[in-house]
Amino acid sequence: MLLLARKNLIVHKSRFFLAIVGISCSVVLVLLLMGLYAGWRENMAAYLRHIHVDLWVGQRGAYDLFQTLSLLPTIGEQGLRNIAGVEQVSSFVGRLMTVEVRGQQRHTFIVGVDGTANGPVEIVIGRNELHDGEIVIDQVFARKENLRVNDTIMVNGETLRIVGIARGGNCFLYQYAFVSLVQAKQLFGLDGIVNYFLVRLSPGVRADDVATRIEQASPLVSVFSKEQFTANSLSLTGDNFLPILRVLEIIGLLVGIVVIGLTVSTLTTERSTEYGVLKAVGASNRTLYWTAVQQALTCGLCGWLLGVPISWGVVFAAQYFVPQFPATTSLHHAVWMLGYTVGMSLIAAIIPIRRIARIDPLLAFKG
Amino acid sequence: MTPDRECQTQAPADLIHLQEVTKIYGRGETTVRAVDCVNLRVQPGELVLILGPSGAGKTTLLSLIGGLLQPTSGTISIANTELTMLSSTALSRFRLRQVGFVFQFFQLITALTASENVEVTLRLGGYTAKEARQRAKKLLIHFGLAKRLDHLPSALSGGEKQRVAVARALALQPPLLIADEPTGSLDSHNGEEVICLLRQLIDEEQRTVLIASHDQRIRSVASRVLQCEDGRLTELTTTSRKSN
Repeated sequence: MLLLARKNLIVHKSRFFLAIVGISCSVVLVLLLMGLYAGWRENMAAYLRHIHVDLWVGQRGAYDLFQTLSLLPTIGEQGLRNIAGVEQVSSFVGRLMTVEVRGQQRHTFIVGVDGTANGPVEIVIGRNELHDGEIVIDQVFARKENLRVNDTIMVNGETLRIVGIARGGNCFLYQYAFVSLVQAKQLFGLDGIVNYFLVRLSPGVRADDVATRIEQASPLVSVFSKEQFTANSLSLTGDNFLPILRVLEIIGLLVGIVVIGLTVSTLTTERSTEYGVLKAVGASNRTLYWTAVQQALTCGLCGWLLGVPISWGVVFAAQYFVPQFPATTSLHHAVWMLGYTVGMSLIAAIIPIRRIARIDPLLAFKG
Repeated sequence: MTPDRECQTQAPADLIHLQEVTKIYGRGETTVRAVDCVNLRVQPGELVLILGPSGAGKTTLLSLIGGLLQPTSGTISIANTELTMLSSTALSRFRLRQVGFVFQFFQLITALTASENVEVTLRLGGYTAKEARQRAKKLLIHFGLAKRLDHLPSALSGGEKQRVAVARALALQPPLLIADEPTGSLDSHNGEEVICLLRQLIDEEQRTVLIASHDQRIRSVASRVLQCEDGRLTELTTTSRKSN
């Protein structure tokens, strides 16, 4: 019956093509949304995962980099070094700042680099070493603002020269930029203050044990593992952004179901007499239902085959024209979408199946 | 001439046996007795022609015998299978194996070629794609359609379409062929071709054929002629023309 399913489907080629385009739009939408969410999280987490740290120590009540503010006195650093299991302590100073690029105000998250602990993920042009009056910017920011090495930007009245362009610092709404620790404290007005301490542990030491010791030593701090701090910082997307994306994904899937359902239903209605004839000559209802399912799956899979490469093309084009667009493409998402497409097709097939069940085989005797 | 209500001589191996079969549609004032207390026995190899005006109940009778409808009362037995006891799934299987249908308006699947229309029935009957293709080709060549195998129905004449329909009906070699106005949509020449085909089925294959038709030409090939009026059957003619 696959022959019948296929031939009935393509008898009106233009209609079939339009249906495939409609389904592929649904596929593209859902894949873009999946890629957007994954890309956002991946980009936001990239720098945090790169930082050489085992434990983040911050002011009690602060738990992430973007939503809460942590201020700690620098003198606390020595106390941390004295705790058993702590091998190294670095300072983390960073905040979202307004910068001036060719007279235009922009936003970027400026980080004060302390040694090798918290520099950029990877330099792609220029150098990593920073002196006062110098800044390393992210490549997305550079493309967006058409900036190159040796160009200058102004931060809080200070003119900083771009000495390097890095990757891995795109958070979509803003990008990371890096200055020396001294420069950062001067720009932020933080004299004797840091935002977080970054703790590296001695080999073989359990992070939980050291965290407990630190919190016991100072009840005014909270301590987080690297994974926990990263997860906390990403909770912004998880709590606020993800539900919106999920709703849009569901809408995209519903569109796909409607297009498939309408296409196969219309076909079933047009071919009612033929289905009646098939019933009359002895085709079981189950065989005919399977024909409708095959038609729905064919529509869905053709839409998937068209939609996947289109979505990849859209992501590529979007990143070219909108550098901060964080969407990613992956085979993993394509496979998930294949599963969703099969699900959409099966649900959509319910409508024509119900029609087929009601078709009277006595239609065969009518003209 | 044997009226339908009289007992007929019990034949040893009736292919079709209807006993007091009635089919009623509607209720109360809108009640219609489409088939009214019909008794009928048909032996293997007979070609039974059912004449009657429109609305007489011919199509309903054919539908009952073909297992497309269940009677309101009475029993229907085809090839020793009592249809009234079968579920709808079992009736589908019964129709597939035991009955071939030929319709007035051909009812070919428009998206499939002549060969594919026959192959569909064979695939339903469990043939593989290759076997179905081979058997369909053989059947259609037998019916003089060797050059039309890959033509869509829209490219076939009326006579050719009906021959494809007959091939489809006979694909699984059912013992019973039911035809509703098989020449009704054909011109004189094509109608003659189909009648010749029916004659061939009786003479060469000893198939049992039940035909509802206004076409008087079919009387010449019929073993028996029944008159259907107001849902009742009356035997008009029993000819000596039976299968050899």
